[in-house]
Amino acid sequence: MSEYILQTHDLRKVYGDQAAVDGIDLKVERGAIYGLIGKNGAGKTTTLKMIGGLSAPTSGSFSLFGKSGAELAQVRGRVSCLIEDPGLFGNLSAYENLKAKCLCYGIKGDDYIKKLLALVGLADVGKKKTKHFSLGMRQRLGIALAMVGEPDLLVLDEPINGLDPEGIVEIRDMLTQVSKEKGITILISSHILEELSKVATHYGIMSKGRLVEQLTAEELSERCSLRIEAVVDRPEFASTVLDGMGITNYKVTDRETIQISERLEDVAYINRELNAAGVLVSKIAVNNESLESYFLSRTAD
Amino acid sequence: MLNMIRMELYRMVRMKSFWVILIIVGVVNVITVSLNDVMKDSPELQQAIEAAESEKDNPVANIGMSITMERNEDGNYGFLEIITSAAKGMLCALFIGIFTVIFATADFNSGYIKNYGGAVKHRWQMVFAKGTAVLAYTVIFFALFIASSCLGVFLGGHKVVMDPAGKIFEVLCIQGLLHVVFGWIIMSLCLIVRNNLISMIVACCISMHVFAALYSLADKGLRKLGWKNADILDYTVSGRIMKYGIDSSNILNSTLVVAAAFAIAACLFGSLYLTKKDLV
Repeated sequence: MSEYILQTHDLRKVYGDQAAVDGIDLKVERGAIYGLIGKNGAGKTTTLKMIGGLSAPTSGSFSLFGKSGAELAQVRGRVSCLIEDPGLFGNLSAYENLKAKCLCYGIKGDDYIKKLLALVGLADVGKKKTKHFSLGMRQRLGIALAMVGEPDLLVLDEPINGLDPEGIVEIRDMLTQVSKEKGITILISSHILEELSKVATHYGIMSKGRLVEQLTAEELSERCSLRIEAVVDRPEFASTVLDGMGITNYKVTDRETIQISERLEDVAYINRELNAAGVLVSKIAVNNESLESYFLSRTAD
Repeated sequence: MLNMIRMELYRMVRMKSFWVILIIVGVVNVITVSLNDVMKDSPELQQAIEAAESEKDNPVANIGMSITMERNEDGNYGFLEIITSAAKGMLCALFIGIFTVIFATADFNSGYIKNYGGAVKHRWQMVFAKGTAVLAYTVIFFALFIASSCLGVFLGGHKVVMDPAGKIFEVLCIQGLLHVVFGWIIMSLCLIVRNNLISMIVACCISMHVFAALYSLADKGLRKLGWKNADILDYTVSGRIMKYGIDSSNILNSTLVVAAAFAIAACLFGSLYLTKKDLV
């Protein structure tokens, strides 16, 4: 039976007469990477602020690690968050920013800070003040700050904003790694669906302050019909190559395109096999167009 | 709690403004104290000071800062005179207020509060930790102020005459306490309004006697209403800072009551507000 480390019950947050979050019931399993998807203004950040303890709900409640109400204070230290822009002291270096938070958490030792800096790729920044950091560097440091104390629940709001493609891959790999190795549950919001789909094990789709759907990655994959789309010079010959690889769930859609609906993680391997068989592949990718279409259909006005 | 205090002290000493304010105060104090003699002995300046003094109907209603350091009969300076002249002139309060505003709002303005604010068990602990840092700063400030004043006296060719130890202890403790409480009031204001500009204006207005002038106006109104001896300033921390000097043992208890009342109120309001309101 799955253990939910976070459960919200009719959680609401109202600013004036505007409901930013309008009665959501969220459930996050231990060890999951839960992706919260929604358009700008859907209520993602407000939800994460409440879960992170930075903002109080107007009504409703939520439980963390089985504790709720007044008992939440006991487990607050097990939750860490990066909400909106990373909060950094501009006149301090990356090391000093981390040191301040480590002191707050009672963590001693320079090695711990150096390891964190290395983990997010900031080992070489030296004494450079964070006010001179690029957005990507700030984002990396924000993630490092969120990792201080090795929380059980990591709440990340748009953590890959401003990162270059290489940085996105690094952070994505790091999140997957800490989730698997350290068992950290990650609640992550993003509007970049393609990136989220590469790490998330569960999804929550938000629209206008409401949680319109919760589903697992498998369920989303089924509903979105994620597929590999390959543009090749000889589709008929490519079909026989795929047959030879044991791939049966595919179809030739036009004179140069094949859609493969299984073994999505083997895109590189399929590409190599087709090339080896003498099929010229001009484009091959996991098509996520339908993921976006699905998202748009669930959040349509 | 201790960890949070450690963090606040760490970021305090890492702040540029911490060092800038201390250096400015130290250097300016050495120069002004050492030049005090020159100013005292200048007949033109004496005339100007006397003219200004004669215009004073009510000393607390004058806006601005006036610090007068009197020499003993032998031409030297008393240790307590050095401390109380600057403290009563609100010079120390001004700099402590400025630093407190910068310090107390730094984690809110930078957003650093988001990194640890949510994980804090009880938010009053944040007020307590910041208050402890303000206390530490006040102690450091006073130590530097006394040291630089003494250095200025020596550079001016005079000596510092020590007062009775008990008296020094009493005045230092009371003035220190009043300044700490003043810092806490400004800190709580910062946490409530979360606006550098407004907090800085209030801190400067209190230190530069603008509030004292307003209290005087209010006193006039209260006297017309029948409260014959109305003196609001007497019930404020800034008023007590201006009044408490070498011969103020008679108001020791009432000063302690005023300090305690404002300390409790400042911490209570700051904690309550922080507990009830969203951090970001």
